[in-house]
Amino acid sequence: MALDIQSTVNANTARIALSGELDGSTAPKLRETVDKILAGKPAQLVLQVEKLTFMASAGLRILIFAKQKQPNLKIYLVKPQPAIVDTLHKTGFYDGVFVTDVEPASA
Amino acid sequence: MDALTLPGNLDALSPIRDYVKAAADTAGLDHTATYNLLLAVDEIATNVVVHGYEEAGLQGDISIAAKNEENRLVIELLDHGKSYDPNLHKEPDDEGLLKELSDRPIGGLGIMLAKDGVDDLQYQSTELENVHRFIVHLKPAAEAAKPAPTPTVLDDHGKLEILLRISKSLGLEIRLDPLLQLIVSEVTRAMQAERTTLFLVDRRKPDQLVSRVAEGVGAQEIRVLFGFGIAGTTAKIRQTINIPDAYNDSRFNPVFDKSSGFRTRSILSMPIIDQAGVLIGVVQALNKKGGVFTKGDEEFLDAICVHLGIALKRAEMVDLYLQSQIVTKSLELAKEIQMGLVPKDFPALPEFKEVDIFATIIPTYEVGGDLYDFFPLDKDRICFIIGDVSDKGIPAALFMAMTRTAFKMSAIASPDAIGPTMARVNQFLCESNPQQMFVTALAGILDLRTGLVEYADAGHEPPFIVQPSGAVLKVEKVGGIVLGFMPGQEFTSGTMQLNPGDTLVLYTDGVTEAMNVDHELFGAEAIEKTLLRTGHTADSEGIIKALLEDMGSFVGEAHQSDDITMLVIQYRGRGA
Repeated sequence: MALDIQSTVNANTARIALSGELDGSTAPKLRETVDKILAGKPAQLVLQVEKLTFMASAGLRILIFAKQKQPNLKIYLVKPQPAIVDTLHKTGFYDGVFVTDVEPASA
Repeated sequence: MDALTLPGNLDALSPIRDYVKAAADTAGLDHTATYNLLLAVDEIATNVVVHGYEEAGLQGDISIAAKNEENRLVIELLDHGKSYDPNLHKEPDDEGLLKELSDRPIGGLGIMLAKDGVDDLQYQSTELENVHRFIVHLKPAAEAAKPAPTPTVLDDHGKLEILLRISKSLGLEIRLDPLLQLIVSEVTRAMQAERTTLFLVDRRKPDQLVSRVAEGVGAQEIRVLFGFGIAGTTAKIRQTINIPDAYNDSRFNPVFDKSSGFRTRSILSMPIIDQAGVLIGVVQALNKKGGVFTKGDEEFLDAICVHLGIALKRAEMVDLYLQSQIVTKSLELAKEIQMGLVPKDFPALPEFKEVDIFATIIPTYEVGGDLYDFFPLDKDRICFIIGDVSDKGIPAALFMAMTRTAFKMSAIASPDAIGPTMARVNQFLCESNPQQMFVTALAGILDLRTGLVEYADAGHEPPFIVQPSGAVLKVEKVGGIVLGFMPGQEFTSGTMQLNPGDTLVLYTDGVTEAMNVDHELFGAEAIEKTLLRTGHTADSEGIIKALLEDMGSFVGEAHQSDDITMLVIQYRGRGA
């Protein structure tokens, strides 16, 4: 199953809606999207991941990539599935992002 | 299941996961175990493709096979690329995992998730092929058939199990900060909440709660006054508050939601009270999954809170103990520094054959307020001081260090007369003395050619002179006011004559006021007695040893109550 990526940028907030599976084969496409979006220096990156059913470490690497490119970037994960929250906990990423059930307003 | 063979590129990942999913379903794995196995196989397959084939410039197939063995599911992943043993790969350590995201090392995460996702990950590499073997233990049929606990209802047995686990894990953690983290995650799990916040009563401001761990708001410290917000109200009334809808409750403060992006719905807020009935903190479970917190949840959290109270109390005590250990360590360092301020190498001033000097300082605590010092002013004169700050411990030690430094600098800067030196030290101490401390001191300049001592007295104990005949004289001092007390004070100097063989014995009141268990003082007479006994036969070190021995047998079991310092200068005369 592929990964569908929809992105919008509004003021200082970039939103990316992901559905499908984020693995080593689909991660490069997302990385490209994130790279493009960060060129505009958004204050926050909101990842809408309710429909993301699988995330491998390749997905975590994109979070690192984004943070390395822009250390003050606030990353939100909106409505992640429990298995993905579990991965975030295991790897310590949970503390580096904001996991929320509510779509954050634009900054 | 029949094996599946695919070209070794990233397009293989998705069909491999489909295959594993089918195998997991057949074996009856639950949702979590299935996902973890999928993740494990996916991570390794990614490594095989990326590191084993692509980066190594190789091409080949990757095959997967599932075997349903007795009580376990085994997935075998075969490839012909470069060998890459996951078990030799270093996982990111705890430190790496705690780093800021932007500081994270990139590698190792996949391997970690792979190992974590299965019960065993085996690897074997031969000339023919590399094999990864993922092993997942299957639960016995009876257990597997048992319905998974639904999110809202936990039976008593389940609750008891969780309580036991919490009690056990809390029991293992005695340090405060990790314990707080542990509590937060255990309560979140046990209460089937989305998040837990833990507040502790501030030790220094007992009408405030402070939270060091609140999931999702990072390291931000939250402070709450008693009576304010849900947590503050819980602390004030010391009763449980159960709120089904926070935004409909006027006590709820939404400011933390705003800063964290979290939306609080339901809250169960409970005071943590220790066995002595003292409020330790407040624990809040937020957003019950699939509903609101029930009466049953209240009872369950109440039972958990008993354990929290005990664990927190103990961790706080350990924390305090560790802090006191840090203070002890600092004191040891301070002692070393202070002892470095006074000359400790004996025989002292070996180039001056005219004198034999020995000194000792025994603080009551680690550091003290007594001081002595001696140093040459030129080739014919030696300057000395003994002093006693009107206090003990660290404040006295700091004042002692100031006094000693001021004295030495002043004496060397104008070495001609001792009176003006004392006046300058006095002025300096008066100007920088917010604690109203003072120093008794006796300082002098010994002329090595003649044995004449010019001295100034600032309220110090009168010294003794032991003559070669064995006679002991108490020096009649010129008298003067203590240092650091009255600005602008002048100090007149007096003189005393030391003849070759005479010994000047200086001491602080820690010697005369050494007390035995009956609260009797050692006294100047006892010093005189010791000096009469041993003085004329002993050298300076021998005199101090004799005095310490006699003091020791007088004091007996009683505790030392003041710093004890002695400075003994034997004048041998020039050409001795």
